[in-house]
This record gives sequence, structure tokens and C-alpha cells, in this order.
Amino acid sequence: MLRFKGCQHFRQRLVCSTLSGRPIRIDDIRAADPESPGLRDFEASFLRLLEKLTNGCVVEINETGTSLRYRPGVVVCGMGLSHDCGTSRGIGYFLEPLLVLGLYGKKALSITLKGITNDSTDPGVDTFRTVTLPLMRKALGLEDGLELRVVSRGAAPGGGGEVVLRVPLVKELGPIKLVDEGMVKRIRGVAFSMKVSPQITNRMVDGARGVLNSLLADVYVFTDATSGAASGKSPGYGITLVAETTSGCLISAEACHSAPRSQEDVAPQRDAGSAQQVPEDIGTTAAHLLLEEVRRGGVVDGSHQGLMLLLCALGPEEANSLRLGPLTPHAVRTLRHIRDFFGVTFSLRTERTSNTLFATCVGANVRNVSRRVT
Amino acid sequence: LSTRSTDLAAFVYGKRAVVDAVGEESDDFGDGGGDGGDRGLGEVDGGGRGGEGSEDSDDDFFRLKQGSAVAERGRAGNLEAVDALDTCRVIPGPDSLAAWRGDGSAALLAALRNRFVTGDWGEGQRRAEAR
Repeated sequence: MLRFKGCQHFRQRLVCSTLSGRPIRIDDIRAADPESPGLRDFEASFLRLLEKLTNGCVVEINETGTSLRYRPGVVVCGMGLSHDCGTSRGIGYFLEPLLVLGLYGKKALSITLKGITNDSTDPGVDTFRTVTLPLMRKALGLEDGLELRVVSRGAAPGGGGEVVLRVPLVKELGPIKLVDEGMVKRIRGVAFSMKVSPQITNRMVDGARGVLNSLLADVYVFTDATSGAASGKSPGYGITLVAETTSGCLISAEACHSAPRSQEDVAPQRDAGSAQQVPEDIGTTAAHLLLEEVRRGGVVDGSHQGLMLLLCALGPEEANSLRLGPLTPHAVRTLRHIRDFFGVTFSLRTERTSNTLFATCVGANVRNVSRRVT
Repeated sequence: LSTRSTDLAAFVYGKRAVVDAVGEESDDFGDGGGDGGDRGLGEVDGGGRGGEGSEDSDDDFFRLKQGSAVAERGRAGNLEAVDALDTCRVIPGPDSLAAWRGDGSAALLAALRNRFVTGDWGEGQRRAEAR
């Protein structure tokens, strides 16, 4: 049994535990929090989702919720599942682990997720649709079956969004070799809004173009101004930008108007400057974040480093290599967890002039054991 | 940091994620990176780690109640915080984009020009072939 501490990297611990078949124990979950120690509702929700997808897993939580024991079961998945993600975290929080788990199911996965589609903590559904899924198709050579459909959008705090995710199953992952960054040839994006004036999407696009057009003329941002049933329960707006390179890499960044979820959220936002909430500024912020991601380099942006590293580690017993920008804290934690669960250590080599690094590993060759043999 | 590959490997793998006996004791080779949370490896934001240290100061008799969700968000960038926020998204700190907004933005844009097809392709080729 592997033992961990605290709530960091909660989802990936459970995913790695499930895929490696190794039971885990997590102690001291928010033990230092005097007011509300223990698991949060979204973590409990993720555990329930995991119980829906797997057969025979055992979850034990102590009275205060500060300790968790998890013995993994067999990944089953299946069609027509649904899960209410709640409103504490975005749908992105649940999508990311599903993308990996779904590949290793007994049946293909098709699941409806309800909740917040875009917020400022988790990757938005547009990022998944326009970057994460194409990236997985490209890296793993998946032909079809990987799809995310946005039925309706939902902003914080009310939520009310709905997406349908389909993930095909694989026998094993193919080798990943993504080392060519390429040059940025065009920038695409989606500016969305829920329950506000449709004009706001155009204002965000103006803000983004104002920054990006000095480098590139080929900038086109789609607008998706939703209203009525397709717009969920709360007003909100935001923008996702994607830079496509000549080698087919996708670098993304997003920014959105963040509505306060609770009383405690209100104060720090006022400090951060409410000026940031003007549509034009949200567009500019997203554009700056995108340029920052391009400046850091690598074949993927910071928010996809962890996923790609995990897919490399699960891959076949041959060289899997990635060229990455400076590692994000999330990616560093991922690397440590990969070593502990699968015994896979990456060789990390820095290329000095570009300050990017080449991460290479021999995969653990994790195969889909629950898939029916035909 | 991260100029030498061995440093980077020690920084990443010097600490274990598990808290088993091996994890706690065997990190003596990682002492060089022990205070690694502050090295800001690849952090977009500079102010990601106010969280816990400041709470123990002497004058915390009347301190503003900081919500736990906010505190957790603050710890997202701190590698050694066990209760760090679990998200893969790169969350910008309050002043991480200041350079892009301020006077230095023109220089930053100029430095990026060759990463775009509108820039120098020879430069892009050199970068692509660098290993």
C-alpha cells in the first residue's frame, strides 16, 4: 500500500492507483485546516464517479474525512452514464481523469456531466474540446470515438452546464514522440458568454486581437453567445485562445470572468482589482497568457504537461519523448507520482539556448486488462 | 536552476510523493533542492506561496480570516504543500502578467517574433534542431 499525505494531486493518485492496481492510503487531508478539515464535496463526488466507472473498488473514509483508504477495482465504464459534478469545481476537474481512465475501460465510455463548464480554477470545456482531445488523438493515434459535445454552458456559481464525453477503449497506448515545436502559424479561439449581452463576446475578441495582431494577422476567434436553456443558471463570460504551430502543436490559454462562489472568495478578488473583469481586459489577459505559454516553449502548454507525461509513462516499453517548457508545479508532482506508482523515471535534459527540456522515458506498458478479448 | 540537467532531475526526483519510510529519509541527495518550492521552477506566478508561513507570525492576534479555499489556491504553486490545490491549470498570480502589461512588453514581443511564422524561419529552424 502506498501512503500519501494531504489533498494535493488527489485525482491523479486515484487514477494511478486504479491503473496500477496498487491500493493507496491518504492521511492528513486538510488536517491543518481548523475550520473544515477533511475531504471536500467535490472530492467525494469524484470518488462516487470512480465507483460508477469501476467494479469492486473499496473506499474507506474516517469520521472526520481526513484519511482515505482506496483499493482499486476493475475499470468498466460503459454507455449512458451520467454524473452531477456539483458547483464547487468545474466539469474540467472530472474530465481530465476520465480521459485517461476511459481508455482502459472494459467498454467504451459515454458519460453526461452536469455542472460548471467554464471557471477560473479548472480548464474549461473549450480547452478540452479544442486542445486536449486533438492532442490525445495526435499523440496516441486515436482515429475516432474521442469526442466532447457541449450541450449547454454553465457558469459559476449556479452551474447548469452539460457536456457529453465519449472515450474509446484501447488495448495499449502507442509510443509518444512529440519534440517538434514548430512556429505559430495561426491563432484560433472561442469567446463565450452566458446570459449576458452577446456584444460582450466581441469585446473580448477585440481585447485579444489588440495584443495578438502585432505578431500575427491570422487570428480568428469564434463567438458563442448563449442564452436561454443553453446558458445554464448564472451569467458569465470568458475566452479560450489556441495557437497552432506549423508542426501541429496546440498551445492554449484561457481567462474568464470569475464570479465569487462564496463569501470568502469576494475579498481577495477585490484586491486583485475588479478592473480585470471588464471584457476587453479578459481578452487581453488571455492573449498575454497565451504569449507567455508560447514564450515558455514546448510542444504543449503548461496545463497539459501533466497529462502528456502520464500518457508517456503508461505507454509502451520504448522511448517516449516530449519537448516541454519549464515544468509547472503540477507537472513536477505528476513526475513524482509516476515514479512511485509505476516506477517510471524520466530522463530530463535541458536545452540551454531555448530553455526547454527533453523528457524521455521508457513506459510502464500499462495494458487494458479489463477489455474483453475477442 | 534547470541550467544543468542533473540539478533538474534532483529537483524533481529529490522528493517523493509517498510518505513511506523510504520517502522521508532518502532525500538527502535532494537537500540541494529542499527549499525547492521557492525556486519557482516553471512557475508563471511569482506570488504563489504566501500560504502557511505568514500565518504563524506574531501579530496574528487580529488577522483577517482567510478562507481555506483561497489559502489552498495560494498553495497551488508550492511544491511541498501537501494540501495544494489539485488542478492542472496554470493559474496566474496577481503580478505574473505585469511584465506583459508594462513598459517591457515591447521587448517581450520582439523576443517572441521568431516563434511565429511572421518571423525569421532560419531562427525557428535552429531552435527546432537544438537538442
